[in-house]
Amino acid sequence: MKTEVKIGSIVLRRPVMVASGTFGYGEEYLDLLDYSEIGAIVTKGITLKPKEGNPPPRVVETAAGMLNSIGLQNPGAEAFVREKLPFFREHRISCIVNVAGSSVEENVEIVRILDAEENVAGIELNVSCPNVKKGGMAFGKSAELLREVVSEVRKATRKTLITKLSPNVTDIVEMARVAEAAGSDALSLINTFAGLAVDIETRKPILGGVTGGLSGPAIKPVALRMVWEVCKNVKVPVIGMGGIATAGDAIEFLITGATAVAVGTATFYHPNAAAAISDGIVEYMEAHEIDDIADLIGSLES
Amino acid sequence: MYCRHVKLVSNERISETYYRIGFECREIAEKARPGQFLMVRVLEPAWEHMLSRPFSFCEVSGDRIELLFNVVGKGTRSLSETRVGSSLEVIGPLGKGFSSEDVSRAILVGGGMGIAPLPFLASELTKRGRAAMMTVLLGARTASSLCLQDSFTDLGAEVRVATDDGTAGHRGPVTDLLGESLKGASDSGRVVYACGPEPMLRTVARLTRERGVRCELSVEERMACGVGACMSCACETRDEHGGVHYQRVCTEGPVFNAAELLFDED
Repeated sequence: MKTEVKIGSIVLRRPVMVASGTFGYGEEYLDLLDYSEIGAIVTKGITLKPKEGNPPPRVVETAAGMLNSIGLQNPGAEAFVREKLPFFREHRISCIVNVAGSSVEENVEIVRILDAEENVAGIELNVSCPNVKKGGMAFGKSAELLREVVSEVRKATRKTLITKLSPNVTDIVEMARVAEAAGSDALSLINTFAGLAVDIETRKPILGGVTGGLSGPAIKPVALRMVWEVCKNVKVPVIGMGGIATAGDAIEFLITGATAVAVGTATFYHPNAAAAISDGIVEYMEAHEIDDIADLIGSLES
Repeated sequence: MYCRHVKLVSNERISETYYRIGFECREIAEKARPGQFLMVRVLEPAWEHMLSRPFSFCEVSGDRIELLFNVVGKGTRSLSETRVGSSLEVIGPLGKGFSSEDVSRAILVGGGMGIAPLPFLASELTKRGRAAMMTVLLGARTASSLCLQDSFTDLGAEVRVATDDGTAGHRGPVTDLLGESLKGASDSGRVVYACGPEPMLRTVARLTRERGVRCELSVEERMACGVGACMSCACETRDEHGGVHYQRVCTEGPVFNAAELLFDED
Protein backbone atom coordinates (compact mmCIF):
# COMPACT_ATOMS: atom_id res chain seq x y z
CA MET A 1 0.00 0.00 0.00
CA LYS A 2 1.28 3.45 -0.88
CA THR A 3 0.57 6.21 1.65
CA GLU A 4 3.38 8.47 0.56
CA VAL A 5 2.60 11.97 -0.71
CA LYS A 6 4.73 14.84 -1.92
CA ILE A 7 4.45 18.47 -0.85
CA GLY A 8 6.91 20.42 -3.00
CA SER A 9 10.12 18.45 -2.54
CA ILE A 10 9.11 17.05 0.86
CA VAL A 11 8.16 13.38 0.81
CA LEU A 12 5.72 12.47 3.57
CA ARG A 13 5.63 8.76 4.45
CA ARG A 14 2.10 9.33 5.74
CA PRO A 15 -0.19 12.23 4.71
CA VAL A 16 -0.63 13.47 8.28
CA MET A 17 1.29 16.35 9.82
CA VAL A 18 0.86 18.26 13.07
CA ALA A 19 -0.21 21.88 12.75
CA SER A 20 1.82 24.91 13.74
CA GLY A 21 1.27 26.17 17.27
CA THR A 22 -0.14 22.91 18.56
CA PHE A 23 3.04 20.86 18.80
CA GLY A 24 5.64 23.28 20.16
CA TYR A 25 9.03 22.52 18.61
CA GLY A 26 8.50 18.79 18.39
CA GLU A 27 10.06 17.63 21.64
CA GLU A 28 7.08 18.20 23.94
CA TYR A 29 5.10 15.15 22.83
CA LEU A 30 7.94 12.63 22.63
CA ASP A 31 6.52 10.49 25.46
CA LEU A 32 2.96 10.56 24.16
CA LEU A 33 2.99 9.80 20.44
CA ASP A 34 4.78 7.53 17.95
CA TYR A 35 6.51 10.04 15.68
CA SER A 36 7.02 7.48 12.91
CA GLU A 37 3.27 7.71 12.22
CA ILE A 38 3.40 11.39 11.25
CA GLY A 39 4.75 12.81 8.01
CA ALA A 40 6.13 16.08 9.34
CA ILE A 41 6.02 18.48 12.25
CA VAL A 42 5.20 22.11 11.60
CA THR A 43 6.77 24.23 14.33
CA LYS A 44 5.31 27.05 16.37
CA GLY A 45 5.71 30.33 14.44
CA ILE A 46 9.17 31.90 14.47
CA THR A 47 10.06 35.60 14.35
CA LEU A 48 13.52 37.09 13.82
CA LYS A 49 13.97 38.26 17.42
CA PRO A 50 12.56 36.54 20.52
CA LYS A 51 8.93 37.47 21.14
CA GLU A 52 7.19 37.46 24.52
CA GLY A 53 3.63 37.10 23.24
CA ASN A 54 0.31 38.37 24.58
CA PRO A 55 -0.76 38.81 28.22
CA PRO A 56 -2.73 35.92 29.76
CA PRO A 57 -5.34 34.52 29.77
CA ARG A 58 -4.35 33.17 26.37
CA VAL A 59 -6.88 30.43 25.91
CA VAL A 60 -10.56 29.86 26.49
CA GLU A 61 -12.64 26.82 25.67
CA THR A 62 -15.70 27.40 23.46
CA ALA A 63 -18.34 25.09 22.04
CA ALA A 64 -16.50 22.26 20.24
CA GLY A 65 -13.41 24.38 20.07
CA MET A 66 -11.20 26.96 21.67
CA LEU A 67 -9.96 30.50 21.21
CA ASN A 68 -6.27 31.21 21.58
CA SER A 69 -4.36 34.45 21.74
CA ILE A 70 -0.74 33.42 22.20
CA GLY A 71 0.74 36.25 20.14
CA LEU A 72 3.60 34.21 18.66
CA GLN A 73 5.70 33.78 21.80
CA ASN A 74 8.94 32.21 20.49
CA PRO A 75 12.70 32.28 21.10
CA GLY A 76 13.59 33.92 17.74
CA ALA A 77 15.14 32.44 14.60
CA GLU A 78 18.73 32.05 15.82
CA ALA A 79 17.82 30.42 19.14
CA PHE A 80 15.42 28.16 17.24
CA VAL A 81 18.19 26.96 14.94
CA ARG A 82 20.63 26.51 17.82
CA GLU A 83 18.35 24.98 20.47
CA LYS A 84 15.33 23.45 18.77
CA LEU A 85 16.40 22.27 15.33
CA PRO A 86 18.85 19.52 16.45
CA PHE A 87 15.89 17.57 17.85
CA PHE A 88 14.54 16.97 14.34
CA ARG A 89 17.82 15.53 13.11
CA GLU A 90 18.19 13.28 16.15
CA HIS A 91 14.67 11.92 15.72
CA ARG A 92 14.72 11.84 11.91
CA ILE A 93 11.51 13.73 11.44
CA SER A 94 10.79 16.30 8.76
CA CYS A 95 10.70 19.81 10.13
CA ILE A 96 8.60 22.47 8.46
CA VAL A 97 9.25 25.84 10.09
CA ASN A 98 6.36 28.25 10.43
CA VAL A 99 7.70 31.74 9.67
CA ALA A 100 5.77 34.67 11.11
CA GLY A 101 7.72 37.90 10.60
CA SER A 102 5.89 41.19 10.94
CA SER A 103 7.29 42.71 7.72
CA VAL A 104 8.39 41.50 4.29
CA GLU A 105 12.03 42.21 5.22
CA GLU A 106 11.79 40.27 8.48
CA ASN A 107 10.25 37.27 6.75
CA VAL A 108 13.00 37.32 4.11
CA GLU A 109 15.68 37.51 6.78
CA ILE A 110 14.25 34.59 8.78
CA VAL A 111 13.94 32.50 5.63
CA ARG A 112 17.58 33.22 4.69
CA ILE A 113 18.67 31.93 8.10
CA LEU A 114 16.55 28.79 7.70
CA ASP A 115 17.58 28.24 4.08
CA ALA A 116 21.14 27.54 5.28
CA GLU A 117 19.93 24.73 7.57
CA GLU A 118 19.99 21.23 6.16
CA ASN A 119 17.46 20.02 8.75
CA VAL A 120 14.75 22.43 7.67
CA ALA A 121 12.60 20.52 5.17
CA GLY A 122 10.39 23.44 4.28
CA ILE A 123 8.96 26.81 5.19
CA GLU A 124 5.36 27.49 6.06
CA LEU A 125 4.81 31.21 5.62
CA ASN A 126 2.33 32.42 8.21
CA VAL A 127 0.30 35.18 6.62
CA SER A 128 -2.68 34.38 8.78
CA CYS A 129 -1.94 34.77 12.51
CA PRO A 130 -4.91 36.71 13.96
CA ASN A 131 -3.14 37.56 17.24
CA VAL A 132 -0.41 40.05 16.33
CA LYS A 133 -0.68 43.77 15.67
CA LYS A 134 1.70 43.80 12.70
CA GLY A 135 2.15 41.24 9.95
CA GLY A 136 0.31 37.94 10.39
CA MET A 137 -3.22 38.10 9.08
CA ALA A 138 -2.67 41.59 7.60
CA PHE A 139 -0.57 39.93 4.86
CA GLY A 140 -3.19 37.29 4.23
CA LYS A 141 -6.10 39.70 3.92
CA SER A 142 -4.63 41.86 1.18
CA ALA A 143 -3.91 40.37 -2.24
CA GLU A 144 -1.20 42.96 -2.90
CA LEU A 145 0.65 42.44 0.39
CA LEU A 146 0.33 38.68 -0.03
CA ARG A 147 1.81 38.79 -3.53
CA GLU A 148 4.72 40.89 -2.30
CA VAL A 149 5.60 38.82 0.77
CA VAL A 150 5.33 35.47 -1.00
CA SER A 151 7.38 36.55 -4.01
CA GLU A 152 10.14 38.12 -1.88
CA VAL A 153 10.36 35.06 0.38
CA ARG A 154 10.36 32.86 -2.74
CA LYS A 155 13.54 34.59 -3.91
CA ALA A 156 15.22 33.88 -0.57
CA THR A 157 14.90 30.09 -0.54
CA ARG A 158 14.88 27.01 -2.74
CA LYS A 159 13.29 24.96 -0.01
CA THR A 160 9.66 23.98 -0.26
CA LEU A 161 7.55 27.06 0.39
CA ILE A 162 4.08 26.58 1.80
CA THR A 163 1.80 29.58 2.35
CA LYS A 164 -0.68 29.26 5.22
CA LEU A 165 -3.86 31.12 4.37
CA SER A 166 -6.33 32.92 6.61
CA PRO A 167 -10.03 32.09 6.49
CA ASN A 168 -10.82 35.67 7.57
CA VAL A 169 -11.23 36.85 3.98
CA THR A 170 -14.11 37.37 1.59
CA ASP A 171 -12.67 35.14 -1.11
CA ILE A 172 -10.07 32.58 -0.11
CA VAL A 173 -9.79 31.34 -3.71
CA GLU A 174 -8.42 34.72 -4.76
CA MET A 175 -5.79 34.57 -2.00
CA ALA A 176 -4.90 31.00 -2.94
CA ARG A 177 -4.38 31.98 -6.59
CA VAL A 178 -2.21 34.95 -5.58
CA ALA A 179 -0.06 32.78 -3.28
CA GLU A 180 0.32 30.17 -6.02
CA ALA A 181 1.21 32.71 -8.70
CA ALA A 182 3.78 34.34 -6.39
CA GLY A 183 5.69 31.09 -6.12
CA SER A 184 4.23 28.96 -3.31
CA ASP A 185 4.91 25.25 -3.75
CA ALA A 186 1.87 24.38 -1.63
CA LEU A 187 -0.88 25.95 0.46
CA SER A 188 -1.93 25.27 4.05
CA LEU A 189 -5.51 26.04 4.90
CA ILE A 190 -6.99 27.10 7.12
CA ASN A 191 -5.58 29.09 10.03
CA THR A 192 -7.97 30.09 12.83
CA PHE A 193 -11.03 32.33 12.64
CA ALA A 194 -10.84 35.60 14.60
CA GLY A 195 -13.25 35.34 17.54
CA LEU A 196 -14.24 36.82 20.89
CA ALA A 197 -15.42 35.53 24.29
CA VAL A 198 -16.78 37.71 27.10
CA ASP A 199 -16.91 37.19 30.88
CA ILE A 200 -20.50 38.18 31.71
CA GLU A 201 -19.68 38.91 35.38
CA THR A 202 -16.85 41.38 34.72
CA ARG A 203 -18.14 42.36 31.23
CA LYS A 204 -14.58 42.11 30.00
CA PRO A 205 -13.12 40.02 27.18
CA ILE A 206 -11.83 36.74 28.64
CA LEU A 207 -8.61 36.77 26.62
CA GLY A 208 -5.75 39.11 27.53
CA GLY A 209 -5.34 39.84 23.82
CA VAL A 210 -9.11 40.60 23.57
CA THR A 211 -9.75 38.59 20.38
CA GLY A 212 -8.36 35.15 19.62
CA GLY A 213 -8.25 32.48 16.94
CA LEU A 214 -11.02 29.87 16.90
CA SER A 215 -9.96 26.28 16.27
CA GLY A 216 -11.28 22.79 16.93
CA PRO A 217 -14.11 20.64 15.56
CA ALA A 218 -16.42 23.69 15.42
CA ILE A 219 -14.62 25.02 12.33
CA LYS A 220 -14.26 21.77 10.37
CA PRO A 221 -17.16 22.14 7.91
CA VAL A 222 -16.04 25.65 6.96
CA ALA A 223 -12.42 24.53 6.58
CA LEU A 224 -13.53 21.66 4.38
CA ARG A 225 -15.61 23.95 2.16
CA MET A 226 -12.64 26.30 1.76
CA VAL A 227 -10.30 23.42 0.90
CA TRP A 228 -12.84 22.22 -1.65
CA GLU A 229 -13.09 25.65 -3.30
CA VAL A 230 -9.33 26.16 -3.37
CA CYS A 231 -8.49 22.67 -4.67
CA LYS A 232 -10.74 23.27 -7.69
CA ASN A 233 -8.82 26.42 -8.53
CA VAL A 234 -5.11 25.82 -7.94
CA LYS A 235 -2.59 23.25 -9.18
CA VAL A 236 -0.26 23.20 -6.17
CA PRO A 237 -0.93 20.69 -3.38
CA VAL A 238 -3.14 21.76 -0.49
CA ILE A 239 -2.58 20.74 3.13
CA GLY A 240 -6.01 20.65 4.73
CA MET A 241 -6.53 21.55 8.38
CA GLY A 242 -9.21 22.94 10.64
CA GLY A 243 -10.90 20.86 13.32
CA ILE A 244 -9.59 17.46 12.23
CA ALA A 245 -10.06 15.12 15.19
CA THR A 246 -10.65 11.66 13.68
CA ALA A 247 -9.44 9.60 10.73
CA GLY A 248 -12.86 10.15 9.18
CA ASP A 249 -12.35 13.91 9.34
CA ALA A 250 -8.95 13.57 7.68
CA ILE A 251 -10.34 11.31 4.94
CA GLU A 252 -13.03 13.91 4.18
CA PHE A 253 -10.26 16.46 3.52
CA LEU A 254 -8.32 13.99 1.33
CA ILE A 255 -11.41 13.10 -0.71
CA THR A 256 -12.14 16.81 -1.10
CA GLY A 257 -8.71 17.32 -2.65
CA ALA A 258 -6.17 17.92 0.12
CA THR A 259 -2.89 16.11 -0.59
CA ALA A 260 -2.16 15.93 3.13
CA VAL A 261 -3.77 17.03 6.36
CA ALA A 262 -2.60 18.59 9.61
CA VAL A 263 -3.94 17.81 13.06
CA GLY A 264 -4.02 20.73 15.48
CA THR A 265 -6.29 21.33 18.44
CA ALA A 266 -7.17 17.62 18.73
CA THR A 267 -3.62 16.95 19.96
CA PHE A 268 -4.32 19.10 23.04
CA TYR A 269 -7.03 16.80 24.34
CA HIS A 270 -5.87 13.60 22.65
CA PRO A 271 -2.06 13.70 22.49
CA ASN A 272 -1.93 10.65 20.24
CA ALA A 273 -4.51 12.07 17.79
CA ALA A 274 -2.20 12.55 14.78
CA ALA A 275 -0.81 9.01 15.04
CA ALA A 276 -4.27 7.52 15.56
CA ILE A 277 -5.57 9.42 12.52
CA SER A 278 -2.62 8.24 10.45
CA ASP A 279 -3.35 4.62 11.43
CA GLY A 280 -7.04 5.15 10.80
CA ILE A 281 -6.36 6.28 7.22
CA VAL A 282 -4.39 3.07 6.58
CA GLU A 283 -7.23 0.98 8.03
CA TYR A 284 -9.73 2.79 5.83
CA MET A 285 -7.58 2.17 2.75
CA GLU A 286 -7.34 -1.53 3.61
CA ALA A 287 -11.07 -1.81 4.22
CA HIS A 288 -11.82 -0.06 0.92
CA GLU A 289 -9.06 -1.82 -1.02
CA ILE A 290 -7.30 1.38 -1.95
CA ASP A 291 -3.68 0.60 -2.86
CA ASP A 292 -2.47 4.13 -3.47
CA ILE A 293 -3.52 7.17 -1.50
CA ALA A 294 -3.43 9.12 -4.79
CA ASP A 295 -6.64 7.27 -5.70
CA LEU A 296 -8.31 8.74 -2.63
CA ILE A 297 -7.10 12.32 -2.96
CA GLY A 298 -9.58 14.51 -4.81
CA SER A 299 -11.97 11.63 -5.44
CA LEU A 300 -15.06 13.61 -4.42
CA GLU A 301 -18.08 12.59 -6.49
CA SER A 302 -20.21 15.54 -7.42
CA MET B 1 5.19 11.44 31.35
CA TYR B 2 2.40 8.98 30.65
CA CYS B 3 -1.03 9.18 29.03
CA ARG B 4 -3.26 6.53 30.60
CA HIS B 5 -6.89 5.57 30.95
CA VAL B 6 -7.73 5.00 34.60
CA LYS B 7 -10.86 3.80 36.40
CA LEU B 8 -12.35 6.09 38.99
CA VAL B 9 -12.22 4.31 42.38
CA SER B 10 -13.75 7.04 44.52
CA ASN B 11 -15.62 10.29 44.03
CA GLU B 12 -16.56 12.09 47.22
CA ARG B 13 -18.20 15.46 47.72
CA ILE B 14 -16.42 16.96 50.71
CA SER B 15 -18.03 20.39 50.92
CA GLU B 16 -20.48 22.51 48.96
CA THR B 17 -18.45 22.54 45.73
CA TYR B 18 -15.30 20.60 46.66
CA TYR B 19 -14.80 17.06 45.43
CA ARG B 20 -12.10 14.50 46.00
CA ILE B 21 -11.58 11.75 43.43
CA GLY B 22 -9.25 8.76 43.53
CA PHE B 23 -7.85 6.26 41.03
CA GLU B 24 -4.89 3.95 40.64
CA CYS B 25 -1.99 4.28 38.23
CA ARG B 26 1.33 2.80 39.27
CA GLU B 27 3.51 4.43 36.59
CA ILE B 28 2.32 7.94 37.34
CA ALA B 29 2.22 7.44 41.14
CA GLU B 30 5.83 6.23 41.17
CA LYS B 31 7.10 9.32 39.34
CA ALA B 32 4.86 11.98 40.92
CA ARG B 33 6.47 14.68 43.06
CA PRO B 34 4.62 17.13 45.34
CA GLY B 35 3.55 20.25 43.45
CA GLN B 36 3.39 18.49 40.09
CA PHE B 37 0.08 18.05 38.29
CA LEU B 38 -1.99 15.90 35.96
CA MET B 39 -4.14 16.78 32.96
CA VAL B 40 -7.49 15.00 33.39
CA ARG B 41 -10.23 14.46 30.82
CA VAL B 42 -13.65 12.91 31.11
CA LEU B 43 -13.87 10.42 28.25
CA GLU B 44 -17.49 10.85 27.23
CA PRO B 45 -17.32 13.32 24.36
CA ALA B 46 -19.02 16.62 25.12
CA TRP B 47 -19.08 19.53 22.75
CA GLU B 48 -18.92 22.11 25.51
CA HIS B 49 -15.75 20.79 27.11
CA MET B 50 -13.21 18.83 25.11
CA LEU B 51 -9.99 19.96 26.71
CA SER B 52 -8.31 18.31 29.68
CA ARG B 53 -8.12 20.18 32.99
CA PRO B 54 -5.00 20.53 35.17
CA PHE B 55 -5.08 19.32 38.80
CA SER B 56 -2.29 19.09 41.38
CA PHE B 57 -1.56 15.75 43.00
CA CYS B 58 -3.35 16.04 46.36
CA GLU B 59 -2.25 12.73 47.85
CA VAL B 60 -0.21 9.90 46.39
CA SER B 61 0.14 6.68 48.32
CA GLY B 62 1.31 3.43 46.71
CA ASP B 63 -0.48 3.22 43.34
CA ARG B 64 -3.29 5.42 44.53
CA ILE B 65 -3.65 9.02 43.39
CA GLU B 66 -6.13 11.50 44.87
CA LEU B 67 -7.12 14.84 43.38
CA LEU B 68 -9.08 17.64 45.01
CA PHE B 69 -11.03 20.15 42.96
CA ASN B 70 -13.62 22.87 43.12
CA VAL B 71 -16.52 22.93 40.68
CA VAL B 72 -15.98 26.21 38.87
CA GLY B 73 -17.28 25.51 35.36
CA LYS B 74 -18.46 22.94 32.87
CA GLY B 75 -15.31 20.82 32.91
CA THR B 76 -15.10 20.44 36.68
CA ARG B 77 -18.87 19.92 36.92
CA SER B 78 -18.65 17.07 34.47
CA LEU B 79 -15.74 15.57 36.42
CA SER B 80 -17.72 15.84 39.68
CA GLU B 81 -20.57 13.89 38.04
CA THR B 82 -18.31 11.06 36.85
CA ARG B 83 -19.25 7.80 38.50
CA VAL B 84 -17.00 5.34 40.25
CA GLY B 85 -15.99 2.72 37.68
CA SER B 86 -15.96 5.19 34.76
CA SER B 87 -12.75 5.86 32.87
CA LEU B 88 -10.77 9.08 32.78
CA GLU B 89 -7.78 9.97 30.63
CA VAL B 90 -4.86 11.32 32.63
CA ILE B 91 -1.52 12.72 31.46
CA GLY B 92 1.32 13.15 33.91
CA PRO B 93 3.21 13.71 36.02
CA LEU B 94 3.70 17.22 34.63
CA GLY B 95 5.58 20.35 35.58
CA LYS B 96 8.08 21.29 38.21
CA GLY B 97 7.10 20.60 41.82
CA PHE B 98 8.17 21.88 45.25
CA SER B 99 11.74 21.36 46.40
CA SER B 100 12.09 19.53 49.69
CA GLU B 101 15.88 19.75 50.09
CA ASP B 102 17.54 21.57 53.01
CA VAL B 103 14.34 22.23 54.93
CA SER B 104 14.57 22.48 58.71
CA ARG B 105 11.23 24.17 59.28
CA ALA B 106 8.31 24.29 56.83
CA ILE B 107 5.29 26.54 56.77
CA LEU B 108 2.57 25.42 54.35
CA VAL B 109 -0.04 28.02 53.40
CA GLY B 110 -3.21 27.06 51.52
CA GLY B 111 -5.97 29.46 50.57
CA GLY B 112 -9.28 27.94 49.41
CA MET B 113 -8.63 25.30 46.76
CA GLY B 114 -4.93 26.13 47.17
CA ILE B 115 -4.88 23.41 49.80
CA ALA B 116 -4.88 20.84 46.95
CA PRO B 117 -1.10 20.21 46.57
CA LEU B 118 -0.29 20.49 50.30
CA PRO B 119 -1.19 17.03 51.72
CA PHE B 120 1.24 15.32 49.29
CA LEU B 121 3.92 17.88 50.15
CA ALA B 122 3.31 17.39 53.88
CA SER B 123 3.71 13.62 53.66
CA GLU B 124 6.88 14.00 51.58
CA LEU B 125 8.35 16.38 54.17
CA THR B 126 7.32 13.94 56.91
CA LYS B 127 9.19 11.13 55.14
CA ARG B 128 12.21 13.36 55.30
CA GLY B 129 11.69 13.76 59.04
CA ARG B 130 10.33 17.29 59.07
CA ALA B 131 6.85 16.65 60.56
CA ALA B 132 7.61 18.05 64.00
CA MET B 133 8.76 21.27 62.44
CA MET B 134 5.81 21.76 60.12
CA THR B 135 3.07 24.36 60.47
CA VAL B 136 0.06 24.37 58.15
CA LEU B 137 -1.98 27.53 57.72
CA LEU B 138 -5.32 27.11 55.96
CA GLY B 139 -7.63 29.85 54.82
CA ALA B 140 -11.22 29.56 53.64
CA ARG B 141 -14.30 31.68 53.08
CA THR B 142 -16.22 29.97 55.89
CA ALA B 143 -15.91 27.01 58.27
CA SER B 144 -17.83 24.58 56.04
CA SER B 145 -15.36 25.01 53.18
CA LEU B 146 -12.37 24.00 55.31
CA CYS B 147 -11.24 20.47 54.54
CA LEU B 148 -8.47 17.89 54.84
CA GLN B 149 -7.17 19.19 58.17
CA ASP B 150 -6.82 15.58 59.34
CA SER B 151 -4.31 14.80 56.63
CA PHE B 152 -1.93 17.25 58.35
CA THR B 153 -2.75 16.63 62.04
CA ASP B 154 -2.38 12.87 61.42
CA LEU B 155 1.22 13.60 60.44
CA GLY B 156 1.76 15.52 63.67
CA ALA B 157 1.78 18.97 62.07
CA GLU B 158 0.40 22.04 63.77
CA VAL B 159 -2.65 23.33 61.86
CA ARG B 160 -4.04 26.85 62.20
CA VAL B 161 -7.05 28.12 60.30
CA ALA B 162 -8.48 31.46 59.22
CA THR B 163 -11.89 32.22 57.74
CA ASP B 164 -13.19 35.34 56.07
CA ASP B 165 -16.35 35.31 58.24
CA GLY B 166 -14.72 34.16 61.48
CA THR B 167 -16.77 30.92 61.70
CA ALA B 168 -13.55 29.01 62.37
CA GLY B 169 -10.16 30.11 63.70
CA HIS B 170 -8.82 33.57 63.01
CA ARG B 171 -11.21 36.01 61.34
CA GLY B 172 -9.39 37.49 58.35
CA PRO B 173 -6.94 36.42 55.69
CA VAL B 174 -4.70 33.41 56.25
CA THR B 175 -1.70 35.65 55.58
CA ASP B 176 -2.31 37.28 59.00
CA LEU B 177 -1.34 33.91 60.50
CA LEU B 178 1.73 33.74 58.29
CA GLY B 179 2.82 37.18 59.54
CA GLU B 180 2.70 35.81 63.13
CA SER B 181 4.50 32.57 62.22
CA LEU B 182 7.32 34.44 60.57
CA LYS B 183 8.06 36.60 63.64
CA GLY B 184 11.27 35.80 65.42
CA ALA B 185 13.96 33.48 64.14
CA SER B 186 14.85 33.49 60.46
CA ASP B 187 17.12 30.47 60.06
CA SER B 188 18.15 29.55 56.55
CA GLY B 189 16.35 26.19 56.61
CA ARG B 190 12.97 27.80 56.98
CA VAL B 191 10.78 27.49 53.86
CA VAL B 192 7.31 28.78 53.12
CA TYR B 193 5.25 26.85 50.54
CA ALA B 194 2.01 28.42 49.38
CA CYS B 195 -0.83 27.88 46.94
CA GLY B 196 -4.01 29.91 46.64
CA PRO B 197 -5.63 32.94 45.02
CA GLU B 198 -3.38 35.63 43.58
CA PRO B 199 -3.92 38.30 46.32
CA MET B 200 -2.87 35.71 48.90
CA LEU B 201 0.22 34.70 46.93
CA ARG B 202 1.17 38.34 46.51
CA THR B 203 1.02 38.91 50.28
CA VAL B 204 2.94 35.68 50.98
CA ALA B 205 5.62 36.80 48.51
CA ARG B 206 5.87 40.20 50.18
CA LEU B 207 6.02 38.86 53.76
CA THR B 208 8.70 36.29 52.96
CA ARG B 209 10.72 38.78 50.93
CA GLU B 210 10.66 41.28 53.84
CA ARG B 211 11.94 38.62 56.22
CA GLY B 212 14.38 37.01 53.81
CA VAL B 213 12.65 33.63 54.01
CA ARG B 214 12.82 31.11 51.14
CA CYS B 215 9.40 30.81 49.50
CA GLU B 216 7.91 28.63 46.77
CA LEU B 217 4.53 29.41 45.24
CA SER B 218 2.30 27.18 43.15
CA VAL B 219 0.36 29.19 40.57
CA GLU B 220 -2.58 28.52 38.30
CA GLU B 221 -3.34 29.52 34.71
CA ARG B 222 -5.65 28.35 31.93
CA MET B 223 -4.00 25.57 29.90
CA ALA B 224 -4.75 23.74 26.68
CA CYS B 225 -2.05 21.06 26.37
CA GLY B 226 -0.31 20.90 29.77
CA VAL B 227 2.97 19.71 28.22
CA GLY B 228 4.57 22.95 27.02
CA ALA B 229 3.48 22.89 23.39
CA CYS B 230 0.69 25.47 23.14
CA MET B 231 2.22 28.38 25.11
CA SER B 232 -1.18 29.22 26.63
CA CYS B 233 -0.37 29.19 30.34
CA ALA B 234 1.91 32.22 30.37
CA CYS B 235 2.98 33.69 33.69
CA GLU B 236 4.99 36.89 34.05
CA THR B 237 8.39 36.35 35.67
CA ARG B 238 11.50 38.36 36.40
CA ASP B 239 15.01 36.99 35.85
CA GLU B 240 18.06 37.76 37.98
CA HIS B 241 18.95 40.72 35.73
CA GLY B 242 15.51 42.26 36.16
CA GLY B 243 14.33 41.20 32.68
CA VAL B 244 10.64 40.34 32.43
CA HIS B 245 9.61 37.20 30.55
CA TYR B 246 6.61 34.96 30.16
CA GLN B 247 7.23 31.43 31.39
CA ARG B 248 4.96 28.42 31.00
CA VAL B 249 3.11 27.46 34.19
CA CYS B 250 2.90 23.86 32.90
CA THR B 251 6.62 23.40 32.26
CA GLU B 252 8.75 25.98 34.11
CA GLY B 253 6.06 25.89 36.89
CA PRO B 254 3.53 25.45 38.40
CA VAL B 255 5.88 25.97 41.35
CA PHE B 256 8.07 29.07 41.13
CA ASN B 257 10.40 30.78 43.59
CA ALA B 258 8.40 33.70 44.96
CA ALA B 259 11.18 36.11 43.96
CA GLU B 260 10.73 35.16 40.28
CA LEU B 261 7.05 36.00 40.06
CA LEU B 262 5.61 39.34 39.06
CA PHE B 263 2.22 40.25 40.46
CA ASP B 264 -0.24 42.73 39.00
CA GLU B 265 0.58 45.48 41.49
CA ASP B 266 4.37 45.08 41.33
